[in-house]
Amino acid sequence: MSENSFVTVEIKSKKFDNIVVFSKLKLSLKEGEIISIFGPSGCGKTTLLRMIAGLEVSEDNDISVPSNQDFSIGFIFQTPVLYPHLNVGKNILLGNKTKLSKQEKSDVLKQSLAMINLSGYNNRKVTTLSGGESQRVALARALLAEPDLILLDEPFSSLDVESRRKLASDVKRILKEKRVSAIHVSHDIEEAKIISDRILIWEEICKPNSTSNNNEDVQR
Amino acid sequence: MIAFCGLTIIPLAYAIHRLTSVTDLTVIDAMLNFFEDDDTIRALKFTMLEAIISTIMTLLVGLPVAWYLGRYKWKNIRTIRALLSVPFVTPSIVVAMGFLMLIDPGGLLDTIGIDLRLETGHVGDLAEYTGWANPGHFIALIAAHVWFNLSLVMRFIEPTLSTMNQSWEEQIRFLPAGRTAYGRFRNLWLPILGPAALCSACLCFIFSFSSFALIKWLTPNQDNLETLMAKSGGSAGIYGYRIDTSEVVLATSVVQLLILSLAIILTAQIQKKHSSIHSIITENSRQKTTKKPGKMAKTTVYSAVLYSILPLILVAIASFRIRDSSDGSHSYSTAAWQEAWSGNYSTTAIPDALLNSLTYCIITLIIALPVGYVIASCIARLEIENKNKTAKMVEFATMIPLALSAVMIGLGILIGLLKWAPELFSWMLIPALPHIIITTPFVIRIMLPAIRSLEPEYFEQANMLGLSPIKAWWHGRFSILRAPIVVSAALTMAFSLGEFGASWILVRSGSWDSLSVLVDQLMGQPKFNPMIQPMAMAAATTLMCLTFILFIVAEKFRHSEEGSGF
Repeated sequence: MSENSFVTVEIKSKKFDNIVVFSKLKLSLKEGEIISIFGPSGCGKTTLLRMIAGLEVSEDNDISVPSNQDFSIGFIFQTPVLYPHLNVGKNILLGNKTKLSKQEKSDVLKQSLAMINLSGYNNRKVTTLSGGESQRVALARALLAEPDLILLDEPFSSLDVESRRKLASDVKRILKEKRVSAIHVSHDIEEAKIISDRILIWEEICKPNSTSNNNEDVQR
Repeated sequence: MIAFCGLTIIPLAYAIHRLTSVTDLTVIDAMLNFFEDDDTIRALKFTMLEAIISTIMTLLVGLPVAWYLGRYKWKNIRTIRALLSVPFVTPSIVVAMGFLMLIDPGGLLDTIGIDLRLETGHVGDLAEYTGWANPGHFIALIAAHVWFNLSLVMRFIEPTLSTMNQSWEEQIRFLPAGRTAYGRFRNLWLPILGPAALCSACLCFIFSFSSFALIKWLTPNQDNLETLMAKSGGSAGIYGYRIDTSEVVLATSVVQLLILSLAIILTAQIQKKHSSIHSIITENSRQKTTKKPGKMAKTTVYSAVLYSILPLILVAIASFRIRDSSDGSHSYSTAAWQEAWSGNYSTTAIPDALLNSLTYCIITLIIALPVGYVIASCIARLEIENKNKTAKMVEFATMIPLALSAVMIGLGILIGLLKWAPELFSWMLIPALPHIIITTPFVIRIMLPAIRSLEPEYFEQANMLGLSPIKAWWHGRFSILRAPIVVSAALTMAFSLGEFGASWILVRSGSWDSLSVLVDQLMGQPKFNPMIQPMAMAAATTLMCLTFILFIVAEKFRHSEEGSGF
């Protein structure tokens, strides 16, 4: 790993029910960099992100992040997770870190919604949003929390090709503006090319399981 | 529909008219008198106290159980759910007997030094130091109400938890609003589980407030509004005789009706919110939990399961446990069963009471099921035709019996109908009337969501195929609604079999004892005869077994993730 790496990940092996999903995985990421990990569906990309995020137990594995206590991670799931009991504005404000006055909240929301091209959507019910709009709201919320690293788990997979490309381009612009590092996983090479500074091929960063190519089934 | 509302309201309205006429008081005067009478005020205070404490304790016990049950993957989850649901369909008189056996001198609690019945030892000390009269009885009552209502908390909260998309919880942990446990509680759990918890709390309050058999048997020195009305009801409504009892019944019934109506309206509002949140959660549900329960989870859930079945096991055991009059020791035999089945020491034998109960329950089924189905269909049709206000009004009107307690319905028929036409007393079908009034709203509650979700295409397709109207109905509606119809039928029969409050008012005056009334009659006899108590337990066990058979049928047809219905 290079010395100026911001985040380094070294995983000896990941198993589900004694089946090795992948092993000997190594990757590193510089500050402000966006990398894409490209691999086939079900190879274990989501599991990797969940391990980095701490959602999966990773014994005997080494995931190194900056030692400052405030280091925070944002996660954009494959299917946008918006809370249906809250409207768009309230969903975004869940990402707010500091105590704000009513006016300040309103300003923050305006900025966030403008950033994702959804101005005026403040009071909209999240159930009325399209897939792309929902993912934009999830992104705005994640960015409002000012994470040091954001993990993007095939965030555009439910969209049509055209929307996927457009949103990938928008997300890259926003991440660069905010100088947020990101690890993006996808099985769409075109999407990976648009969003990232560097593409890592799954087979080149780890030793995938040769017997099963459908680890998502194993996960479930 | 109009006939059903009439059947519910007319006897009660006529009973109130008769009571106002006998007492020469207006309803307002009666209410004012209520607050000037020590007995009624004492009963109201006690009713509110026991209902509020029962509600709080049920939530305190039920929430952790529902939490663990909903968030982990359990082996035999359906069995656990069914066992935790058993209390809700258990006849209240059986519950009362179960807890009497639990707190009985020489019983399970007494052997570990907790004497709630005679209030000696620590419980006696508590009474002496605090000046609290009969704390043991009160604790037993609250424990019984918690037992009875536990399944309500389960039915509302557990499905919401078990079907919730796990990503919601994972996502909130990445956001500042969910970094702390308090943040997650405030921003995720409270909005999602709050309405479900409130809804179950409201229903716990209603059921504890209108509790009758448990109060009658577990706190015999204290009356709630229900027992006060029942005790005074026998002599009420008669011109020139015991006007004081008519005054008590009039005032108490009006006050109880007001409080229960408010509680029902509140419940309906909260239930609406809960239903919308629950449906959103179910729509978003994707992945089932795979987390295995830890020690704490297992201890909590299995303790609750044990608690759910323990009083019932004790009832069955007590039916075989005969006291030796000479030395007070106990032996086990089937002697009490033989006596109870032959009808010795009681006015009715178990087979006769069983036959009566089954007759009432079949009549109830024959009337309540089609009436409930037709009303539910009417409401659904009004909604399809966008007559939402009318639909809501009809739905609310059909829920009126829920705001009337069983005793009030019984008294309504007794004072409103039988004292007006006493010859009806000899009509053996009269006791089925309150059962029909009480069970029809349950049929509607079960059928309505199923009818709402019916795709009209099924019926239209059957018509297009040229099937006869009956065949079209059979294939287009009945076949699809079979499960909720069976569940409604089984629960209607179970509730009818176990109904006690109204039956106690109506049947004790006649010779058509049901099983629940037989249990009460036997248990009310002096206990110097060692056979009496086991005989009561034998009748209670018979009733319990019948109810369980019906409950198993209902559970078999109930959708595994069905939550907030009954």
